[in-house]
Amino acid sequence: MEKMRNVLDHTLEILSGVSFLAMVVLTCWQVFTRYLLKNPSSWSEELVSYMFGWMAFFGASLVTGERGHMNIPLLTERLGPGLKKGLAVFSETVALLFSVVILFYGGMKITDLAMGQMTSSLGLPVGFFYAVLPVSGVLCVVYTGLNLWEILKTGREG
Amino acid sequence: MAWNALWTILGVMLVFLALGVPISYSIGISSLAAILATVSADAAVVTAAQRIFVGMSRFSLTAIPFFILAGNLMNQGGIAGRLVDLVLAVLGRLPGSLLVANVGANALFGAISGSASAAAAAVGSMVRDGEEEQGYDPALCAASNGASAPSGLLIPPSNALITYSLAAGGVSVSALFLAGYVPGLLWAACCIAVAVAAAGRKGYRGAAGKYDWKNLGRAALRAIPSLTLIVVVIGGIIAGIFTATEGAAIAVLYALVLGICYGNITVRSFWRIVTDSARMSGMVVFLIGVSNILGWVMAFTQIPQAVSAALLGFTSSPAALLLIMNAVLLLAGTFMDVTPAILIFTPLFLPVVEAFGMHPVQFGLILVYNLCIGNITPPVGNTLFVAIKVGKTSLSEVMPYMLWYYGAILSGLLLVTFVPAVSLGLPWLTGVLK
Amino acid sequence: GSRTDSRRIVRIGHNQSVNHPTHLALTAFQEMIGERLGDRFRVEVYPSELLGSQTDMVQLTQTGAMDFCVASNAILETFSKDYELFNLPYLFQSTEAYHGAMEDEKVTGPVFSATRQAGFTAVAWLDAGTRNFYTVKKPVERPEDLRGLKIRVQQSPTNIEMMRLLGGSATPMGFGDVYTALQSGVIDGAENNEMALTDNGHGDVCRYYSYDMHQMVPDLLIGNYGFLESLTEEERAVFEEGFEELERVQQEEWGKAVEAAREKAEKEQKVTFLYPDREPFAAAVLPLHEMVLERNPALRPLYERIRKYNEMYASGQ
Ligand code: NA
Ligand code: NA
Repeated sequence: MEKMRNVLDHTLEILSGVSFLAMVVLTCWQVFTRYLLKNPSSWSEELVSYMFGWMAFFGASLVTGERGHMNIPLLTERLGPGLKKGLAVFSETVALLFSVVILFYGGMKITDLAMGQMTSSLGLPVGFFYAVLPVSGVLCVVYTGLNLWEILKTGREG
Repeated sequence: MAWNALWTILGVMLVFLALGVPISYSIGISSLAAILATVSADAAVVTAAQRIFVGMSRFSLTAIPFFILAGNLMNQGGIAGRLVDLVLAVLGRLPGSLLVANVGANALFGAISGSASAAAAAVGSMVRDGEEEQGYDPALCAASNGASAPSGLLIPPSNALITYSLAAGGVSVSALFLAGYVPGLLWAACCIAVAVAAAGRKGYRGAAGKYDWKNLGRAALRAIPSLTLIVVVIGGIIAGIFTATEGAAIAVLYALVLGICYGNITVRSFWRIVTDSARMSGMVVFLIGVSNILGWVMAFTQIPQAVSAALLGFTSSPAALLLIMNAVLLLAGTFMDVTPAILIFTPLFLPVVEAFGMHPVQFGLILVYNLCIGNITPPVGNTLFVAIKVGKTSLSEVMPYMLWYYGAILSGLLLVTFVPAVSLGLPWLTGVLK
Repeated sequence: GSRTDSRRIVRIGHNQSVNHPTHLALTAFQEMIGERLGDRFRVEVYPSELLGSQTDMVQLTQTGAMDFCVASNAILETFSKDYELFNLPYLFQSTEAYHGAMEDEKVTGPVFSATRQAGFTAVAWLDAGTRNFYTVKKPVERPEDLRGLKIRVQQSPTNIEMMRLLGGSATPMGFGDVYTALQSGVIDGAENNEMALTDNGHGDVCRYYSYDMHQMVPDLLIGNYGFLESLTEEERAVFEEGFEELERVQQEEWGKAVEAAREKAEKEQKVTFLYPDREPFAAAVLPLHEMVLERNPALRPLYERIRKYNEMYASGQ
């Protein structure tokens, strides 16, 4: 289990990190082409936007794995360990539901739909970029599954 | 439709939040639940997926992760530290000087970049380590950073005011821009007042003794390369060499090169900064994505229209109407982003205020000021969340300080609402408005 | 509405503000459906991109979350290559030829139904006027004047190629960023109809507007195919009448709005309008016609038919 998590973390770090750096390079390159080559790039802005989507979804999936999404623990931090554990399970279940229904199922549907649409300048199907939704949906399902297992087995609640 | 949807959103969201469910999932699931009654389950789920993806892949938003990364690089690279030393050398005698510098930098940076979240990301991550070294409470620092960032949205150039001009049927953009300076600076001034007061209470004393000119000279000299970064980025944006978003990427490149030159950044530390920044960005951008679902659902089910109609029917006294409008806008801003809210509320409210003689330029400032407050109020408070994340603290720790800031900023709002000269003064003086 | 309301809600989205001809025309459509089929349908119009950008709204129309939306020709190009036809610069040589061709179902029919597989069809065309260059400082009177100028274009390969042929430097960016980009000098000019000067305030920043008339590109009202098919024959006939009424109102209002925009730009924003000779511009971009027709031969008969309209109205003048 721990090993599986490490592999996932590592893969996601590479995916989000590389997307991030590509965004920086492409954006700088866009400025460069406009001034030095006098031939502005027509597709960089579009590609950067989609890379941004990838980076952000992969980054957010990492945070899901770490149970690091921001919450308001006004009530929960005053409870005993048993109730706390129960609510931790509840939170992860909601995350699981979100990942299955919106990210995975909704993501599959919109990806499928957008396969018939070409991006305006890259000449690639838009669905290709939307595919990050179901992919991160699956990753988040695995992560929330691991989290639930850990909470229930080891009693780690917070 | 509107009321059922509103109660569904509020009910589901508040219960989830109270049970400690992360804000992002609470927003996403409650929004989805609210449209299940009006469209088919399939269409609702696909719509939710589309809204979240679209919200997370906007070119203009890439300034946020870029500035988060640039700020983190500047911290690790020793660039930020030199700037902090300079600020301390200049303002060090003032209690909470770094907080004050943060507010000022946000006003400048938000004004130029046009994004409150980008400003909070850039400035917040730059001053964070310096503030920690000075022994400041990270929660107070994050609150000052988040609270002051939206001031730049009122200071021109302002996309929010351009949007308002369009929605109001072509109110002069030049007049709106001139009208934005004083309310924007007023917002920043309110934040400075709170920052100084809070620093005083917390006992963050300024440096004592004689002013140390030698130290100032040394700090200034050491900070030259760091200052050059700021001059290049801000100057490049103002001079039209690149857009604010592009400027953010240039800042990353510059910070990286400088950090390597200073010998503070290695391949290993660089990769760690990149992946840390991706995590931070992922979390805040995910919140922006889900709030995009909520914004869509509110527009689709026409909740703002229903709430406004119900509340405006209560009274016909101008002062009371203005207060009600402020309340509606504050509430809406709590759940919606600035742009869609401007587009929805302008046609609803502008005819009402024009009927009792308010100038559309003043109303534009009231509207935008209100909605900007929404940027820093949970549960949909993207700028505040960015500040919390880059400040490495938590919402529950930040909120007590935020209450002070809300108070000060709201008193600014009352001035903008009831004193026309606050917004119209500059356009009058310059003859743009008569 | 009341709880017992069983009328089908028909949702239409667009990206213009509430005083724009498109919104006024959709409101007229809304009223007409209300009068004729008010017991069965309630039309709701969502202006100002409230339900998303045009691309987003097209997708939502595909899924049926919305029933209709207004999309620019450029957006529809990403769904079907056939829309490239209307985007060709100097395809129409006069407004009369443009309107004549757009009213001809033999021209529009094949293109409008090209997206049926994707779940939607175009049901009405909306006049978006003539696209012309406007610049901050330098007047554009000949194609050579564009040389070295950074001009914002829509993000599509045809438009970028057009700018290349005219000698300007194409700078693709989102429309929302144009005002600030003009003001700060990231770009030297842009190209659009007269409303961009007033509604979007670009006339505050730009001094010259040159009627080179390079494109007359319609906006399209598209409808969910499933919804259109679900209508009874009688209902469909009323909707079709509604679309015609919508086109009529829109063109009428468009004429008025352009006049008002020109007057405001000239008087209040001090924009100078220029009337350059169009021929050198048209000659420069002509290679684009063959390029597109070679890539998509199915468009050739439609193209030839449009040329007939050009000849018809040229001789009539
Ligand atoms: Na600004
Ligand atoms: Na808020």
